[in-house]
Amino acid sequence: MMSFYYSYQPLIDFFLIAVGLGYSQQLALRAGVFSIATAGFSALGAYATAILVTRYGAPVPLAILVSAVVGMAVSYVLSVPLARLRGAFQAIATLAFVQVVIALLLYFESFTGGAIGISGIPRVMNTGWLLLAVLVTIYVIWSINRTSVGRVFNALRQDDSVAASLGVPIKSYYALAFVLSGLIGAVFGALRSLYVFNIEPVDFGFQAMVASLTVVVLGGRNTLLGPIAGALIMAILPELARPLAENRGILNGIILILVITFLPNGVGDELVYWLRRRLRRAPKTMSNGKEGANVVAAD
Amino acid sequence: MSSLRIEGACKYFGGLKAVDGINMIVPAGRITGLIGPNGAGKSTVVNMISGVYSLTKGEVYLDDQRLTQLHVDEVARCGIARTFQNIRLLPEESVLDNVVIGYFRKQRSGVMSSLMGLPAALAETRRLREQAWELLGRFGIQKYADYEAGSLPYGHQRRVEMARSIAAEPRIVMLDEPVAGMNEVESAEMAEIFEDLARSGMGLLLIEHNVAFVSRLCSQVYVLDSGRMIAEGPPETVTRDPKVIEAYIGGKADAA
Amino acid sequence: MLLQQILNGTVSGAIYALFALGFTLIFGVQKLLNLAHGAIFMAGAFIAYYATAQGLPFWFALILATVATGVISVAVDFVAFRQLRKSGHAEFAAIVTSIGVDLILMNIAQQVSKTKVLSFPFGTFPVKFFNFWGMRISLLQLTILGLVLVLVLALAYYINRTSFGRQVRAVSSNEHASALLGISAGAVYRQTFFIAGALAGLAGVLIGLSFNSIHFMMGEPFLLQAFVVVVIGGLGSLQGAVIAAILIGIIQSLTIAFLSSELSSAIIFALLFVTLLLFPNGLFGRAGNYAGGSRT
Repeated sequence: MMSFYYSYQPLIDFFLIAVGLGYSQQLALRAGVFSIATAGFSALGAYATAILVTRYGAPVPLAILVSAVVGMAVSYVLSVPLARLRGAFQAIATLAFVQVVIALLLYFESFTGGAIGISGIPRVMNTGWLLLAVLVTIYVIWSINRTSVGRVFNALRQDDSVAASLGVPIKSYYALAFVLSGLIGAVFGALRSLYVFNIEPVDFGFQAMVASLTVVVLGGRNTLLGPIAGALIMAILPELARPLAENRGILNGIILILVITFLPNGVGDELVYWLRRRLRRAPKTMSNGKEGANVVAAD
Repeated sequence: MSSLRIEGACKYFGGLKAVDGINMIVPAGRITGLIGPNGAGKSTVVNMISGVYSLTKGEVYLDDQRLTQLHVDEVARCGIARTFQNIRLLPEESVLDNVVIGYFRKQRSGVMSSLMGLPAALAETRRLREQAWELLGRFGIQKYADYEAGSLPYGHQRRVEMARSIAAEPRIVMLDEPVAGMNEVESAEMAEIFEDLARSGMGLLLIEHNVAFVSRLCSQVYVLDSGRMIAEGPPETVTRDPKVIEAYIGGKADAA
Repeated sequence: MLLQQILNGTVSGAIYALFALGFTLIFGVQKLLNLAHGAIFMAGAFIAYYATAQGLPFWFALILATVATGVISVAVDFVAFRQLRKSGHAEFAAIVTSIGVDLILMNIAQQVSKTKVLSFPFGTFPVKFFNFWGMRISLLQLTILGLVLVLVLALAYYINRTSFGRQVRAVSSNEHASALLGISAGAVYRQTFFIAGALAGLAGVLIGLSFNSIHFMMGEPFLLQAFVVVVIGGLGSLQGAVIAAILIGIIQSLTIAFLSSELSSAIIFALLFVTLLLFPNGLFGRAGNYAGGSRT
């Protein structure tokens, strides 16, 4: 068991980080905010912590806290203009945000190290801390799912005018979802920077955006299991494909296409739905055979 | 005991006068009807009250509170509820969960306790689900609680939406064609529920095509045609008004 | 100097227009964001390169690349999107499948090129310059402008004047109703994917020629650029895409020349953000306005 852990440790650690970023991405989408800004928040969080720790010798907990605050502040400010946009436009606006962040990181070389980035970041993070962070995140999302905020997010995603007609201040809740997403993204970005020794702008660009989105779409956009399943697939895929050497990309691509085409809700969500149906706790549909017939006859 | 007052309300879409100068009172504890042929502007009036449309002219009051410029959610939080003509349930949620979201206005646990999963928040969720379950019973659809909301026949979907709209005990509820597609037995059941609600102090505004249904239930009926109020009064008077008959049938009816 | 930059910007903008037109066409007709579009652009450059490397005349290679990428694009639709359309889960899922296709195409290109940066053999395209109004314009730039102009006009004619173009417009506004009218949505989709792919492939060849560098990841920055163009131009609006593309090309050229290339990127994306602030549906966008709880 322990030798398994040691040989796969980096994989497990990156898996945990991917899960965290996946939850950041999923939270926004669950509330109906079509945001792919997680990579941008992750960049802000990573750089804030890296700069504070390497250049100003700040204690790590303080640095992470600052990253969290930066993430929340920026996402709050962004949520205002974002609220006026819908669908694909919202996604593209968040994409623009990420690109602006990257461009600025590249430009302000003296502060951020430009294209070379920041190196020599002490590796403070290990599997234990990462696991703790993921568990805390899971707890928060689990709480959301079981209480009022989760209900509002579901309503917002499916029909926000109905939510408004029931008294929900929709702009505030959209902002809440986005701020939580920014917070989680920034924190995991900070944790990542404390794990990888050095960070550079290219770590947070288009590829990173696509990676978080893929984790959620592959794994599931609605259930707690979603990002875990998605990150698992993304972590295992390159390993499975390793024997194929240069053809890895082709296998990755094929698997992505197959999984999404046949399990469009995502592997994790489909699993959860299937389990719920087995345990008879899922919303039943009218075409439930005997029960349905009785119901119709009784009327 | 609150009453809803609409004074001189107009809604113009460019040159089109969808609603042109109407006055209406929806008193507490009574059922008020709003009828009129298709396209008369009935749903527009509901949208003007609930906050979807701005008013080109006129005012909307709930007692002495001015609702005219409030946003949709603000109007709802004042205690005004509505259903939708084309039924808008949350498609991915169960019937029970659709009703639970109706309790939003009455929730007491805040955002922070929700995020932290505090016992109070979890307990409230349990309580609301129980209350929603009871409410479904009142509308006779308890056995569908776990069904996907979109899979029910329309009549039942309307009941779900009605249950959702009154969950938070609004002061005024506007029901847009609540018994459309229901048979005699079902409408009678709904009628009883509406009378119960009125007796408990709620003011109901019933928008319906079914003139007989409206006549049975309403103490006061308003008739809208092409954006104008052409008649108002108790059902017996209004249904005999030649202007009303003409609006519905489109020609001068024989007086005898 | 200023005029020269504007000219250069117009030329690169013209190429962006080719790329963006295909992207916005697919989105306009199918509401799909095709993230593999960049790889198709790259494929055009690759095909033209290997064709000329085999000794084929450049013009032939150009046409070959254009047609081939059109076909590849249709194949992409078949593999990645057709099944999704049937199951009705298109929007999100399409992003992932197009990423999958992107990975596959890039991997193939990477292996074929052995991760090297390729350039067209010297003399592939005659190097000739003209001077006027104090500006210097190359034969290549002139050719690009001419080619793009012809193609844009042809596309506009096709969409607005022919009966097939009418079918395309019908399917984009309402697929179900069009089916009831006997319009084959499948045929429309195949055609639009072919056109989009061909235009992107052509753009790839032209860019490969202009910068004399071809590599398997060359499509990525263009894809990002395409997002800016189609949003500012209005998702689904063809004339908007062309105008926005040229504007972006000019702005980019000017900011790189007078500021810095990193800042140029920041400025363009900030511009995108501001445009969306003022025009939530893009400059030429047509969709209805979102009220978000306020009275309309």
